Amino acid sequence: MLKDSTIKSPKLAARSPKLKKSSQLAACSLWLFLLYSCGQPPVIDLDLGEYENKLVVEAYLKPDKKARVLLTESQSYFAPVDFPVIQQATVVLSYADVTDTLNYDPVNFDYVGKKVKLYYDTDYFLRVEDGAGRVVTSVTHFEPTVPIDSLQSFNDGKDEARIITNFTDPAASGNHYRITITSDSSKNWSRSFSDALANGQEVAISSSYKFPNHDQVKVRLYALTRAHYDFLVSVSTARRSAGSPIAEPAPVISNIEGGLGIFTTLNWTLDSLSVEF
Amino acid sequence: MRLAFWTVFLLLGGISTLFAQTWSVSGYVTDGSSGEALPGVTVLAPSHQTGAMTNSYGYFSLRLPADTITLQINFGGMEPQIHRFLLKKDTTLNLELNEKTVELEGVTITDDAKEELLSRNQMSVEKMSIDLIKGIPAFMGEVDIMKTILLLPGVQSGSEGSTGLHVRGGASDQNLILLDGAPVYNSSHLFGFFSIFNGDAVRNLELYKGAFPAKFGGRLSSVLDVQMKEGNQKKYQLTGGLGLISSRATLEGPLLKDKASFMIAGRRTYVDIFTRELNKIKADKPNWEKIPDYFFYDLNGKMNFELGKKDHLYASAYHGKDVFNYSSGAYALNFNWGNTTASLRWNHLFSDRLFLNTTAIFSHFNYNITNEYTSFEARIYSTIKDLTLKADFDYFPNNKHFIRFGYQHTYHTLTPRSLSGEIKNTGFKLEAGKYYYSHEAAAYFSDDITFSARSKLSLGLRLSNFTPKDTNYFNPEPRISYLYRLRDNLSYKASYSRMVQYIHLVSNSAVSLPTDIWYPTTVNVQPGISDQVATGLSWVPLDWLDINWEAFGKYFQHQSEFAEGASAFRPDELDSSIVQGIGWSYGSEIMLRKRTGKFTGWIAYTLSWSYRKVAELNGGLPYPNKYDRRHDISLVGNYEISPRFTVSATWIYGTGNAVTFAPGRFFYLDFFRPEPTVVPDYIRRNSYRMPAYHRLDLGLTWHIKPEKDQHSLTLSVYNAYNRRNTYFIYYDEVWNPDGYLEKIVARKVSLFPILPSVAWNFSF
Repeated sequence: MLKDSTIKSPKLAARSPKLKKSSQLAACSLWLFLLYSCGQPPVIDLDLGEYENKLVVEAYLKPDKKARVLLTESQSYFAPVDFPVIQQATVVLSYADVTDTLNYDPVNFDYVGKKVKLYYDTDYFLRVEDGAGRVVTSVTHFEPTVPIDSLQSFNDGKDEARIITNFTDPAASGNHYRITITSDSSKNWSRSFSDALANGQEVAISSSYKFPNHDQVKVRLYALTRAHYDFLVSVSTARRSAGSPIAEPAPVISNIEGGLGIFTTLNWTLDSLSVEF
Repeated sequence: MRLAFWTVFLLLGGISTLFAQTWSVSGYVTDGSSGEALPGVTVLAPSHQTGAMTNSYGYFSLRLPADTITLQINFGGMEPQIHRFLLKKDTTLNLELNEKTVELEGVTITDDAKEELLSRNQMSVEKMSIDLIKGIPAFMGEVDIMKTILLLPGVQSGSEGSTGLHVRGGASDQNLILLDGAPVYNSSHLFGFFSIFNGDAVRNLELYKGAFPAKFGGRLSSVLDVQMKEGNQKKYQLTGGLGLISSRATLEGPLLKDKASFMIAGRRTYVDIFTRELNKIKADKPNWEKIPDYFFYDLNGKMNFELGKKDHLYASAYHGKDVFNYSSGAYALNFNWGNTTASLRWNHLFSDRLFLNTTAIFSHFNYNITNEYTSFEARIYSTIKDLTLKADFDYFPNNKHFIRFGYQHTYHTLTPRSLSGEIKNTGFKLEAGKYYYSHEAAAYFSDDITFSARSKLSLGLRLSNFTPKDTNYFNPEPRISYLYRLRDNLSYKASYSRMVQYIHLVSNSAVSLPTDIWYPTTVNVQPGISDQVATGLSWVPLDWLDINWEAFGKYFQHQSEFAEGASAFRPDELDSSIVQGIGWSYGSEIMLRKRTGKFTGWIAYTLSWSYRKVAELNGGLPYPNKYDRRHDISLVGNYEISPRFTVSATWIYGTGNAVTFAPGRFFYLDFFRPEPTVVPDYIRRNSYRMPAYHRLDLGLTWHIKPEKDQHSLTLSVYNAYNRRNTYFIYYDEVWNPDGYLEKIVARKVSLFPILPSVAWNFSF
């Protein structure tokens, strides 16, 4: 978690939205060409009017791990940059017969509670009330995990390999996934997707070429809630549209009633592989 | 319905025989220099206070009593003709008009234009000849009919450089764009910066913004009817031009003198030739970013045959494509898109009162994107294919009625978006996408009724039918317009029309892209409907000035949008990704125009409002349309300094587009890589305004041999006072060297600074 209330993240710039849509690549190439041919665009004063700050929740419940909730607030776009952690709030997690009031952790700047018990078909409720009287609520659940069938690596003549994760999507539609790959070489990779294009089929997801020979990789296949998937996609869309004349601005789809952010669960299967080529 | 048609048809035909013996005067009017048919020519019989206008194929028909008849034939830019003869039987009068050779000092407005403005009860229509369009300063020297249309009142552009039309608050897909009768689904090249219409291949065009004739349907907001040249029946002619970005050539001539002719035209850009060479030269530079290959081309062809006194056959075709290629290392992208249209038309005169135009039409649009990256291959494609057969009848029972009726049937085949992909070595293959087949049919009937020389009424009804899978839509589309001539130089007009659209463009991009999805009406996606009322005055206060004012109101139903968060890349889920709502627009337009003399031009001003309301968007609240533009002004001037030199200028002003900005932001960490990411918090759709847009363009044409008008050199200056108009505004994160996010600023991107260009046009 955060060690400082000031934003310091050299990698953030590298996380600008990537052009995943080939159809937009061509169009973007055009305007980028025009953009750069005209030099750095000038800074302008943009009057955005009044903005009412909202509570922002970010919480991922993991089985048998302590519940942690990060609470911040949104700000006017051109406000001075800081990380506005909300410290004086009442954060309550409830599910089954459990009601857990989380305590603020000044080291990690988040609220921490008891270990979360995994129940399927059970709703997990969150209620947050800050000192200013703002109240946000949310609800989530655990999705069943899907096993990884196999992992493969291919370098295709390159110096680094890609990892292919094979699994079988359940017959029921509406499954959402995220694959994360971590490695001993600290080369990480992640991708979120749904079963819309391959419902009930064997699925193979390839990473980019980034894992060196003899690298040890760990692959996690997360079963995402629909709300989590929609949030991830909409965050990506919203960020992309903030800097593009092509993308239509779209609001973030949040499951936080009265605020912003995401309250969800993380449930996954794990497999590992030694990259050899 | 058909019974009703024929009942009215026979009744009206019978009525005409009850009165005094009359005879018909009918025939074709053609251009004497090329033999091409001339539509819109006024044929007046002043002593009998009646007249007619030639139809799209240059045909007219009048009924007059046995008497000594004086006919006046007028058409802008042509020498007027007067024919006097004794009418004692049905008479065929085929006329050839010749260009005016000398423009008289203090010329008055041409009688035909004045008469058409004041006496034609078709309102909300704009006609333009290609000569007029060529006289207007052109962007990068490329004559562009779509950009000229944007200078008309009630017509607004999407964004800078774009050829997308937004007519009276309508969306860019709500324009029925016809090229020789064939619908064109994508009318632009280079993402909207150039239109597909080669100025050398086009003869004229008409834009209907309201009061739609019953023969048109299928789009909500406008009809742009573009007609290609037929080809010179008298002599061979080669015309063309060399411009900064493209060259073009047109060859036309007789296949059989005065009986058959042809026209072929081609245009291609050549920027890719230079960029390819530049890439080769710079290939060794380590930091050289390869410039993508891009080009577009158009091919037009037309032939027409006179098969006898009563039959004409026309065959025309168009094919155009944009091609974009990019490769870098193991990555390769090919992106191409384009239209192909073809139409075969047969005109037949059953009698001097009944004219038939039968047309078979083919229209095809597709785009194709292929990606290759080492072992990964992916393809995205979309196609629309229309096959249409239609029959249009013009019936002239007497001088009080002009009846048009017909039927058309279209078979649509659509693949809105299809994806396929493969990863080698894995056996993984993916196919997604659906085909949609549907029939669209329409029957129509309209009668232009002349009550008196001052009062005219046009009544029309179109019955349309669309049959997608598992359902059937049937919509009556009434049309009515009325004209009352208050004074000799002042007319009042009013109209109501309903239009229905069965195929929609849905987009989640902020600009028009060829990859936007054409999606048919289905069980869940309802057909779009617009109801428009308009009223106006046409006034000719001075011989050299005409003024046209109109006010309009439009109500839209079932306007399609992408749901928030929906992905256009889930082709199997498109039906549930589209949400529909209502819209409304209203406004007023005025145009002051000087048509003749050494100085010609117009001033156009539009004041309008346009809104949409969709339950699933913007919290269900109404929001301004992206192209809601309060004020829109165009000034167009063209001055002939001498036979050798002409100067022209256009100035446009428009309220800034409605745009969505995020007033707030928050930080998102993610569980996988907990590093703060700035996320915009969008609240209200289109609640901000871009700065106002204005621009001056200048043109100077040197007619090198004015007596023959064979060659000309045109110098154009786009954005003459170098106004840095805002194309878009984006948020930029400013980082300090230590890797800290320091601040966030807004930056303004402008596209085109002052851009001079030169083009050489030739004619042999």
